[in-house]
Amino acid sequence: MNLFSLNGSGQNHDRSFDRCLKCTACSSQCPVSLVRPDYPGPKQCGPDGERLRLKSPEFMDDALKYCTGCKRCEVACPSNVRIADIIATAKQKYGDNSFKLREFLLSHTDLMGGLTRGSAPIVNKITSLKPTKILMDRGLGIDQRRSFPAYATKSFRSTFKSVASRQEQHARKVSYFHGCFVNFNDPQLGMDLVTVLNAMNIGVRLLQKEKCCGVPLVANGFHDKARANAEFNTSFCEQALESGSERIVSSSSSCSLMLREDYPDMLGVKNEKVQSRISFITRFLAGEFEAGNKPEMKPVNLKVAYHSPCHLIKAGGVLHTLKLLWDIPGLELQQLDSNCCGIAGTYGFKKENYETAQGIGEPLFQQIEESGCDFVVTDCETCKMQVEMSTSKKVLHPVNLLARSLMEE
Amino acid sequence: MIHECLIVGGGLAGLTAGIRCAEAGLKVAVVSGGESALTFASGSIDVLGSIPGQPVVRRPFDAIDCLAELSPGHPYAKIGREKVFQSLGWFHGQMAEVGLELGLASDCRENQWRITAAGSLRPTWLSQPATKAMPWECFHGDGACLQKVVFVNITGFLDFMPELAMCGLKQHPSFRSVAVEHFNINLPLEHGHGATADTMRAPQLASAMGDRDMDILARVLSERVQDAELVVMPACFDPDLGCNRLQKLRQRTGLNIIDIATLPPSVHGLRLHKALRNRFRALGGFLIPGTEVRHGTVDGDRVMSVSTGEDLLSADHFILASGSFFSKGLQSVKESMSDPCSVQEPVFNLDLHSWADQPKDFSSHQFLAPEGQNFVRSGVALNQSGQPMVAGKGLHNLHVSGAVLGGYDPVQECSGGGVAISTGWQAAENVICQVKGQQV
Ligand SMILES: Cc1cc2nc3c(=O)[nH]c(=O)nc-3n(C[C@H](O)[C@H](O)[C@H](O)COP(=O)(O)OP(=O)(O)OC[C@H]3O[C@@H](n4cnc5c(N)ncnc54)[C@H](O)[C@@H]3O)c2cc1C
Ligand code: SF4
Ligand code: SF4
Repeated sequence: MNLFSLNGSGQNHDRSFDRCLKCTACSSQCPVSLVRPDYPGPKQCGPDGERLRLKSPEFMDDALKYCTGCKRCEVACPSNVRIADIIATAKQKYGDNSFKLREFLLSHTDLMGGLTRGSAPIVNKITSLKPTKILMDRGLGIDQRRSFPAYATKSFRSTFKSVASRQEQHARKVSYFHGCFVNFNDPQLGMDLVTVLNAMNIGVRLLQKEKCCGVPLVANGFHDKARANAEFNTSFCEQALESGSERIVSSSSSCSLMLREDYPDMLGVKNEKVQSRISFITRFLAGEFEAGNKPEMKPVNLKVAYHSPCHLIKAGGVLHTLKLLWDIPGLELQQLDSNCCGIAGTYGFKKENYETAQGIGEPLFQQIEESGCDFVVTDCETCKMQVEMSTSKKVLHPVNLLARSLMEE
Repeated sequence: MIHECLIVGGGLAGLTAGIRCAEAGLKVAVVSGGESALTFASGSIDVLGSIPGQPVVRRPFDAIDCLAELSPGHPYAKIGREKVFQSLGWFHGQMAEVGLELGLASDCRENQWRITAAGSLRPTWLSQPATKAMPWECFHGDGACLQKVVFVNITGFLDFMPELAMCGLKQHPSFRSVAVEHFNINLPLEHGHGATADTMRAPQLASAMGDRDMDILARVLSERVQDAELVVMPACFDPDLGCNRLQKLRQRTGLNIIDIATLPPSVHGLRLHKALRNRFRALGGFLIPGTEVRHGTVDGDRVMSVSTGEDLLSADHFILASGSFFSKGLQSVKESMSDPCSVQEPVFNLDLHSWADQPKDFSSHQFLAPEGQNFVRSGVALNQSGQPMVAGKGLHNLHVSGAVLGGYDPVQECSGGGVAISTGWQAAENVICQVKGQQV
């Protein structure tokens, strides 16, 4: 049964609220409603509110803007109500959709990254300067207490060129959707991914072109732009699979959830030709390990604490990451209690959300400080930013750890 | 890495089993789909409060012998009185390790009374620290040890209904001569960002309250309550593991204040779940959230692996602790209105307790029927050796615990928590015994 149906304007209309049992399981898990009790919570804002909004848009509650879209409510729901999607769609349909410069700047991650090419050190310097921060805070409402991710001097796409040709030696190939963060901020993660896959005798290709997956666009109300990006990316994924790649992999838990599930479900962009062949990287690697394609690994004598990102929980992917981490010899692995870190993509950058974001993350930060770990490990780039800003620990991606276990001492 | 034990279901039974396995040094992981029954439960652990045709149970462990004779298929009958006691005592200690001090009666083999949000008295064995259950003598026969009880709510909070609780309590024979009153206290809700209590659930209310609110509560309670032996409030004080704020309020007012679970989500139930997770993690166990097991592969008398539809999970032993209907551990299927309901265990298709297959026997139209609801008794059946079966054939390395088991009625017997813990513990003991046996 497909509970989403497209209406005339190409927007999804969700009837899954009809399945709500009124059990409140969702409300027990919403991180926002605990820190901001004026946020009425998923049951009220999702299925209950939708019933009213269908009668009249006047029932739109401004408080919906506090929802981070973490989808913890959906994991809790026994009845598969698409609570977070209902809220996201309502925000767009009934909310204030006037153009806002801040939302534009925060959400157009590929554009902003592109503008820094060649000037990364200067941009990093500027965004970290006190006066700039105050200006951004006063003028744009981007909280000055927030540290910005540093831009890399050379993008992943250009760094990759040095290894591109030797990828074709491998009989098997996958295409890598690197996303904005790897391209502009963390090219090393992309290179580590290439190292790991090559060690498993799999070549890596890039999509001929890619745009931002759309997560920040949706979160900031730029649905049309997100839909255009979805169509763009989906067609390049199709092209990659047609020209010999067996899979599309992504090292970002949020990008992969978007590419795979939210394109059709939330944006109404058909992706059935590629959907089943898009994988979050740990899902792909865990499958390969299981099938016997496991590289030789050296002990990594580190104590690490694993934080599971909300969107990876929703996608059912924690299992795959743990399977990989269990397989790394020497690793002392501790699991942190599942707790949202609070940043939720661009959410925590906004001045009005700063306190909420830090409040949500507080129990996690405390656990991390008490854990005595050498590093925190997590699968999501914004969780990484948040944890590095809010704790004394550095954060690694599972792929970084795998690459360490391969490298010569 | 292959786990020695993989547990399906992260509720009270699954996590209890996980803690016991991890404590014994086994490599163990728990896979869990969604929320557990604890989100809705009172947070107190009931062991046994009622046996059909008998007076309400004061000494639950002693009563297990009698219960076993009456219903030999009962999960307690398989474990036996002393092991049920041992497992629950062990559980009490495990929770204390992570700072959750559950309350026992002064004679630790006795039940105590807890007041529910609907104003009924239920026999329970372990109580939440803040709920402070009352000793058995308090409400035995016609007399009560109290003269006056006052219910106090936060103005506007809808998930706690003092009027309802008052009416319920007055119906209890020992409350006939007890004065029961109620009133509300208006709070500014310091951390509520301007929202009022009528839009909040109990966990939100707990985080909305600040020191200023506690000051007002202390002042108004001291002014308005002088002569009551018991003050009952909604559980909305301490979202974390301790009961610091309530304890402070007791000290400041000199009143005997307890807080009881409201309509869900239940702060006490969520606290118990957190304590279980903390203990499990501290012992090195892994909890895999948001992952639902679809089916298991059985070869002869062994489970080889379970599958999520996409992934296979292998282990030496498996524990099924997937809960009852609401948690999807059991499924009811009804092809048409005239057909009887059939019940299934969806992962392994295990053999179930049989019950009369007349549709009218499945459930009673009376919601709280005194004889209980038949569907509540349905669930997995175990053979003589305590093994679950597929088509009559026992499985060696699959162990079943908690509400997915059949042959008992947690609601009518007041036994849900006790069965989940003792069967979870027993399942783990079976695994430990087999794993260690192989090592020798
Ligand atoms: C409203 C309510 C109030 C109660 N109050 C009390 C009380 O006050 N005192 C008391 O002692 N008892 C009480 N009980 C009973 C007691 O809480 C339950 O019997 C007990 O918690 C059951 O625990 P469980 O672990 O067996 O099942 P559950 O708590 O239901 O847990 C099962 C878990 O397994 C998961 N799961 C199911 N299928 C799968 C699958 N295929 N793959 C992965 N995961 C799966 C579910 O998502 C769930 O998390 C109450 C029960 C209810 C419903
Ligand atoms: S998506 Fe997250 S923040 Fe939004 S309602 Fe659900 S649980 Fe709350
Ligand atoms: S968890 Fe699902 S069914 Fe329950 S109240 Fe929330 S939306 Fe409704």
